[in-house]
Amino acid sequence: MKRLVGACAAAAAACLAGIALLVCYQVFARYLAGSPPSWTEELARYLQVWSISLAAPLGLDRGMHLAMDYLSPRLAPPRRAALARLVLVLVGAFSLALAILGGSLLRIAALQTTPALGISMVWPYLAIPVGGGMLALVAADRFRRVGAPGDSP
Amino acid sequence: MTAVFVVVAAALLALGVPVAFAVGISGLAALLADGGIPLEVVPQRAFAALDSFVLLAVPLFILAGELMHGTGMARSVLALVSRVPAGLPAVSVVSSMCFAAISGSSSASTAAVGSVMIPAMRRRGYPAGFAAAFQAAGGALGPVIPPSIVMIVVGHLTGAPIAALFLGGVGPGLLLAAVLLAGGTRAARRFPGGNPRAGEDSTSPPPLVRAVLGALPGVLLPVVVLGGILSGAFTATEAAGIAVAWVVLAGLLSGSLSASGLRRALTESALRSGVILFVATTAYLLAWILAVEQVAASIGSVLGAAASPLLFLLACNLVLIVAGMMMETISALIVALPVLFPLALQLGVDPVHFGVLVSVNLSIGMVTPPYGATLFVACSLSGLQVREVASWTLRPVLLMLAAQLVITLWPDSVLALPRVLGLLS
Repeated sequence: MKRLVGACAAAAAACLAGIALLVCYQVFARYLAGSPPSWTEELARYLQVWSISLAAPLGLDRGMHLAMDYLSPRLAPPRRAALARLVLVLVGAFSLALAILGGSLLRIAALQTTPALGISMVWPYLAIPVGGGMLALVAADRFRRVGAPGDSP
Repeated sequence: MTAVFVVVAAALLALGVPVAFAVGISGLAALLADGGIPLEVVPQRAFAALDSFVLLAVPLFILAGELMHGTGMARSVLALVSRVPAGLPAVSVVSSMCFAAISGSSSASTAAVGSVMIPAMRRRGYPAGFAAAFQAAGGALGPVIPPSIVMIVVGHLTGAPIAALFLGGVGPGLLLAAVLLAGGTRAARRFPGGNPRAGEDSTSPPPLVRAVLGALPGVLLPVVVLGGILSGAFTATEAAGIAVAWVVLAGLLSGSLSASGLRRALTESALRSGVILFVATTAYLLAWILAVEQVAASIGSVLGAAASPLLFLLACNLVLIVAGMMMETISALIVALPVLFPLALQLGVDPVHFGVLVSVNLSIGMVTPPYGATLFVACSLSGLQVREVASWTLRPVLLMLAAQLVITLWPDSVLALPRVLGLLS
């Protein structure tokens, strides 16, 4: 599980590197080569969709998604664990919904191609169900670890 | 739909569900309650939120900030600024202001400046709580002083031009800094060893020429970034890309950037932007629901002619400060703006004045307990709990509130500069 999430984060970092290169290339092309290519902006945006979708699961794994932490510290440990499980069930359920609904959206995306690159819209849209699926897996994994040492708060 | 959303969201947030998910689940619940709208709108909005060229500036500025700390560029700028002969609280505010102009991220600049200034202030006999509270306030200048990630998100959500927002932030940013500077210096006199000079503290500083040369890449960066944006040479997103290239190049030339350092910065930035922008995916759904239901229009008609723009802005200040106290900055922004901005437009408030004022409020929210981004960083640097620093934050927060009131009542404090430079009519 750790490996899978780590691989996703590495891919997200690679996407970010790609974004930086594309944006710099776009400025370079406009001033030095005369005409900016139309596809750099589009590709950079799609890489961002992938980068965020792939990085969010690691954020969940590390407990970085911000929440209002008022109730939990005021509860006794057994109740606190129960609350943590409830929160993870809700998070997991929404992630699963995002994955399933995102998957069904692919059928519509398959009918379109992107304006500049001319590839199928499925490729950028695929990031949403993949990200949702990974989030659901991480939520399930953390549910299993609630109360165990080393679990992020 | 909106009623369902509000009730479910309040319950989920109280339970401690992360903001991004709480907003998403309540949006989904609202759609289910309505029944007539296909649920595919949920992933569709998530995609649309991230499929934005403007928003690309956020991960790129975060990356530039990470790299600056990784390559030591940040430290060399601080080494230069701390030579200014002034009291330590003043140096801390001025350094924070410089960092806000280089980096888009407040937590990063609080960490960079605070890790040096908080121990220095403690050595000089300032109470740790005082040092932490003033450092948190200095670090919170970030959203107001360009380049600012908060303003990029404001521009993204409202369509206000980012160059005008950036320029509009200069006046209020200087005002906030001046107020903190004066307040900090005044407060410093009460403590033993009052108003010490920073220069005496440093043990055999490096020669001035070397300090200047070392800091040069960092000092020139805001000139390139802001100059490029304001002259129209490139967009905010492109400027962020150039900033990354600049830091990488400087790091390679000085030999302070390694392959592993680059990889670490990329992963860390991807992770941090993944968390920040994931909130946008569900907040876009909220904005869409509010637009479909025409919530702003109905609130506006209730307020009717009774509300003047000024009353509205004062109410906004209140709402945003409370939101900023409770929530993380970008989350507060993304949740509040879709409601407040259409109202501001209806009442004839200038979008740039409104956008900058929002940034000022959220920067105050970074200092106020219980939830404050720069407060958390300053506390962890000083080894204190948030509740131990809480009473010390009162003075800087009151100072910032006074500046905020001036900015609210006097739109030209924001609008004059972009107007003079021809960015606004």
